[in-house]
Amino acid sequence: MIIRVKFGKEGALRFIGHLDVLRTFQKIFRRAGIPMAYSQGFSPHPLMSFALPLGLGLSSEGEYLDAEIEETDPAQLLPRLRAATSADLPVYAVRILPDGTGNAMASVGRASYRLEIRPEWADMLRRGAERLLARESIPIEKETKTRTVEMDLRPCLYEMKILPAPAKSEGGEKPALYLEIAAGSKANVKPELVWTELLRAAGGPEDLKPCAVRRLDLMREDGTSLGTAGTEAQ
Amino acid sequence: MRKLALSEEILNTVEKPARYVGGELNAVMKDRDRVDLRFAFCFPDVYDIGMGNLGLQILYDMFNRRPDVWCERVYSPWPDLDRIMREKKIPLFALESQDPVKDFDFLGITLQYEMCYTNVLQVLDLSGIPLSAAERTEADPIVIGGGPCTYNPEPIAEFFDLFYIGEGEVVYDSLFDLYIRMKKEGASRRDFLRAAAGIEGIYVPSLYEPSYHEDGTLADFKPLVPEAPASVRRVLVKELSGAAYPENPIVPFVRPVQDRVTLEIMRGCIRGCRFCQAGMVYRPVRERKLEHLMEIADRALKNSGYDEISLSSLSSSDYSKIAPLVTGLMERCSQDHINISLPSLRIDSFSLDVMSKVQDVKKSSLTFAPEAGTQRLRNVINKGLTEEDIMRGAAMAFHGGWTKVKFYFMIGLPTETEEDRQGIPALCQRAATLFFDEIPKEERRGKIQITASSAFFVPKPFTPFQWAKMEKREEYLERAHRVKDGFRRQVNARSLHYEYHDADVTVLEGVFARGDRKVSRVIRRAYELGCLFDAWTERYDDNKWQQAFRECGVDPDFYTLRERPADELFPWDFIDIGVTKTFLRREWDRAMEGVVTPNCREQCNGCGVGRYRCGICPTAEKEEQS
Repeated sequence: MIIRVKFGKEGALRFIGHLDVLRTFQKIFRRAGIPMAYSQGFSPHPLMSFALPLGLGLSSEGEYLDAEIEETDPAQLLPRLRAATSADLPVYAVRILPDGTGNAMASVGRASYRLEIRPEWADMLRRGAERLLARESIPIEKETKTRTVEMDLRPCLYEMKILPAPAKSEGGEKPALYLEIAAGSKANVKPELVWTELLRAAGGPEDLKPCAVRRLDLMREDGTSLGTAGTEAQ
Repeated sequence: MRKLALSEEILNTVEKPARYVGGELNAVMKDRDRVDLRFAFCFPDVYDIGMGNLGLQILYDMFNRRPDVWCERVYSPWPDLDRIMREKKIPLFALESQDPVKDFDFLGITLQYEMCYTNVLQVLDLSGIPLSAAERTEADPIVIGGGPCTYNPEPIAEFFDLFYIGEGEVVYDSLFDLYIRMKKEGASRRDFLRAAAGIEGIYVPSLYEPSYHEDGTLADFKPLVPEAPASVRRVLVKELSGAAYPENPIVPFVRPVQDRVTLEIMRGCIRGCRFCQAGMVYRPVRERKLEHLMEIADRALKNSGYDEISLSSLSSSDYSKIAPLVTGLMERCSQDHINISLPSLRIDSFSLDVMSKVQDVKKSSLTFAPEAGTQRLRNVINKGLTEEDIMRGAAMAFHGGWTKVKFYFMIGLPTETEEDRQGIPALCQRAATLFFDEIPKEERRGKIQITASSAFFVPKPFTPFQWAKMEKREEYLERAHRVKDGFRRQVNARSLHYEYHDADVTVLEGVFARGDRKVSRVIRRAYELGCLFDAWTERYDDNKWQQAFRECGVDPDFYTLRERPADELFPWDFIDIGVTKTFLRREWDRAMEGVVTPNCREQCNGCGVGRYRCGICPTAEKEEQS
């Protein structure tokens, strides 16, 4: 059976690269007593893949991994994974995917982020967001590992808005910039890149950095969450 | 949520920030206000190296079983973070709570190799603890050292309040009970140290005073108070199967050097190689029972989720039930895609059969450790392995499909001659010849590759070779070059590869291994000059060390180039490891005559450790055999 696990990265886990997180999940599955399915061939490896790597230092409440496992009582999956993981790597949900569901990686089209900002930046950033969204195209240069490519940022921007600071009782004091931007194999932009363009459009100081960046969710191109695929394991 | 000691900005700047954030699976969290004693356990090297250390895992598990103790971990910050911490005055912290080490009751430092000594000073310094024990106050943690290097703690004695001599399972409970009681009574640091000196296995350096002869050798080593015994006796576990074992090993997120469950199957070694300190100081051989091992292996695998398990001991083939153990583990592991790694197995038909099942023959290599190039010298060092054993093992391996073979040697052993050194390439050539003779051309599944590597011999305390002299750096290199030339002259030179260790580090290790208290100022000076992570070849700076020796007026040759007289008092003689100096000297004499001594299973040689009445010794109180 193929399952999709929704998890988060907090605290210490923000500094763990995605290959190490993958290895950690293999250990968590073993600790949970959930038998993984293995690839065929000379050095079999567990069949497990992530939707989209998360940059180092970012926290998240919307990560996904797909895993093929041997038949296991579905009601046991979530409680066992929760018991086997650590506080900084919370497991939120497990869904059972029907055969033929595209893997998580291929499904990703958008990602949403919350960038914490200082209250005094809010007006400037709101102005920048309005200006960017009003433009028909935003030609930019994007650095890849090997070269610099020219691309249009505008179709990659689905939503940009300022969120007010949450109530003190909920632990938040800072307002935030909400971003919903293209992600995945077709077009992929990082929140840092959008932030830079936003500052440029707003005429803000170049060296400003968001106080914290958190990924909220991953979505298909049509905007539906990856967490809605299949059925809840119960 | 745990608060991290380092800011986002710093964590995003340094290499591998995962080293500093803790939070791993099975890391123990407690309420700091509900424990009586906080212990910071430090491995003075970088996280990736220190993480998998079995001794640390055993004691971490054991300490944390006590509800009144919270043991956390500390590692050396890598130079990038070290710089930032000094600049921004960030105190060194423990991984679990992220609290400053300075706030702990104890800082325990495990001393696994001599080249970590400057890192010990780094850890003290970054913690804000005075380097010298004499300068510490009631506000500082008690600094305690343990591990293999404590069998001669004198070069670093100045930096420690206490040393634990022996196996950690035995008297830590008494030490903690004493500390907690005296802390509640409001006793001073000084009073606690005096009382601790009365616990067997605990050495308090400040309560002893050495005096020296004019030639620099030790004249006397005297306790200053009645609580301090003239001889500090090593403590050891008599029955390993009853001892605590980490069934919940900490599982790091980043891949450490040891990414697996380690199963310690026994302690001690029956062999008695005369150069080997571990073979003497861990006597007698004590095995864990088979059923006990199967149980802890099963639990540790389940609780950690590791996909590999490794057997650990000085010589696994000498474990009396090795065949059923390995077969049992293979059955347990095969269903779950768990690998077994079998280091230190002697090459014979059983081990080859097992290895062909658990690893890829084409990729893996087989290892022989003849240590010396001729039978004469192998007799001197009491290495039981004969050339016949090697060739028989190699032939079986070649027929089994192996084509990669590694040989380990030492250069600079006592009585070594040019003939012994040239025996090294000659032995490797004979192994290559054997391959071409044994395996017909059409059956060869790959090119034969023989890799020989040699280390320079460093005499260690509590070995029969503790009296031996070392050589100068230039002499070591000259000898290694001649061995290398010898390899070039062999018929199958292209199949043979030879490498040798660094000579500078060898000489320094030699000074530390048999050094006295005068060496501590050199270590301190070298640290001030910037020496750190000396175990890392690319970080080792010999010029700075030479400068430190010069500035401190300490002559390294005094420690390395002298052959010591039979009656010299050694700086480590106040430690009683159980094996007597008389036995060691008798072994030295037999070495000089080239006479081998039978192993402990063949015959008791009266080394002295029989008075512990345990393990393989004939004096052991026998109980029903498992």
